[in-house]
Amino acid sequence: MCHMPEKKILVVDDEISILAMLKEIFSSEGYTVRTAENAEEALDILDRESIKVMFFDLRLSTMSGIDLCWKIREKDQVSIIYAFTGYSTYFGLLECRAAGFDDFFVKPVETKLLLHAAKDAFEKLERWKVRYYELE
Amino acid sequence: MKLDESEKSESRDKDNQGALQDLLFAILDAMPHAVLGLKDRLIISANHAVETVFGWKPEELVGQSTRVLYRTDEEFEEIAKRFYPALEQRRTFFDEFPCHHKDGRDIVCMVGASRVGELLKERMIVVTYEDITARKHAEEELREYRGYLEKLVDVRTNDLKYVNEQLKHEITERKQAEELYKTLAEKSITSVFIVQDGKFCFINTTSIAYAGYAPEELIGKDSMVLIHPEDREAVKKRTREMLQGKDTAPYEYRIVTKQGQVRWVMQTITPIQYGGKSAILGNAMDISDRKRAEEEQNRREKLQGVLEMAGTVCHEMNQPMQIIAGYSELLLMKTSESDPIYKKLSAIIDQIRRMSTITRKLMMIKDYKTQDYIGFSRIIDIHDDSE
Repeated sequence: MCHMPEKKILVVDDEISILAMLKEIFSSEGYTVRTAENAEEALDILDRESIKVMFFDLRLSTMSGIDLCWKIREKDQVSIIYAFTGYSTYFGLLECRAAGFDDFFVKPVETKLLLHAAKDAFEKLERWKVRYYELE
Repeated sequence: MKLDESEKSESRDKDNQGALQDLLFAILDAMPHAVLGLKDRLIISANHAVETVFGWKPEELVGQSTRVLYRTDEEFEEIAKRFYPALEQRRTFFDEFPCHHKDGRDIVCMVGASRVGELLKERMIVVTYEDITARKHAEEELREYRGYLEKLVDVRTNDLKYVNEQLKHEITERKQAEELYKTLAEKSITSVFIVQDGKFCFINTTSIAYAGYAPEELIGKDSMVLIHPEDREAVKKRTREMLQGKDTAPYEYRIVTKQGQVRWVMQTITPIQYGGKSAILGNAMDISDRKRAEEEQNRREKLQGVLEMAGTVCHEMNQPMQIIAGYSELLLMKTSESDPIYKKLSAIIDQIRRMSTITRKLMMIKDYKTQDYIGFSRIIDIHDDSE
């Protein structure tokens, strides 16, 4: 029996209600969702599991979303990481791109757009996996 | 007894001689000066006046050396050295010489000597002594007084010279100072003016330059003419306070130039005397550029505040809006279009999007305008500026 591989998404936001809502949205489309309230928790999860699609809020309690992205990009150039912020000029698009974010969404984001972004990320990973890398 | 002619003649001669001697004695006694007959410095005759001059009676002197008439042995020798050689050359000789009075006083005498006969035989002479002590003192005093007067004149002349020099110097300095102040006032980059009885009576070129008037258009005019009508009362008040010394800080107000332009100036004033009457010296500076910069700075600071507030509001509102929108859209995805809830959910989502549009506009604000709003002072018009 052919077993579809798990599509895992890591969502990081300092507000629990946002985490709960996003978890429900992505879960409804069949993704496995891991949530973290801060950067340290996120890095812990990434140490334990291989997750290639992530959504980070930029304003986090200790390390910012930007710094978290820089840190992940030191080792991981392939994962698709999305910035997700309440305030567009807090960290501008340029800073986000420089830190290695693939895209930049300003809250409130339409659910369709989030799902589309997730879908697109997994499609990319799928293509890259076939052509260039062994990503598992 | 009958006298022959020769006896008669002899008797006549004797009578004549006696009469001459009497005359001579009478003359000598009538003289106010001491007259002495000397023979080899011994007194052989003396008139009555010796008592007046020397205090000695004539009979006390006759037979004595003239040494008693002098103060010291040295002077006694000295007068001899002075007179006798002279008398060998001529009949009379006069000189002043210090002498000695019987009562111990020193006196000065004009001594006159005549030799008796053609030769200075046995040093026979007649000497007159005129007491000139009082005259000498008077002369001395006069000389001293003249010296004092001369000195006084010298001192006064010098004083006058000094005062004159000082005056000349002061005049030069005053002229230089006047010139300097005139140049300072005229060429000062600040506006300098004098107001007397409420009217301009001096105004420098800088004031003219920034007020846009010719000097003759302002001299004699009411000093309030340049001041912006809205600022006149405040300027009057500050002027009073400054003149009373209550407030010395410079004050700012607006002027209206001849061309109708409004400019900001900063001013200080000082009470002065001008032409013998009280006046006000004003010193003003055009601060329009600084005012503009300050206004710009205020505007920027306000803008910065607005931007920061906008950021905070957006972030705070976007979080709950994200949750409402997320769940509503999730519900909508799971609801059939025929379900009556579908329409309501759509309405909720539409309103969230509307709110989202507003927050995005707020986040895009780079500049702003204010709009009068009934009941509020002013609100920021985001629809105008955040396109």
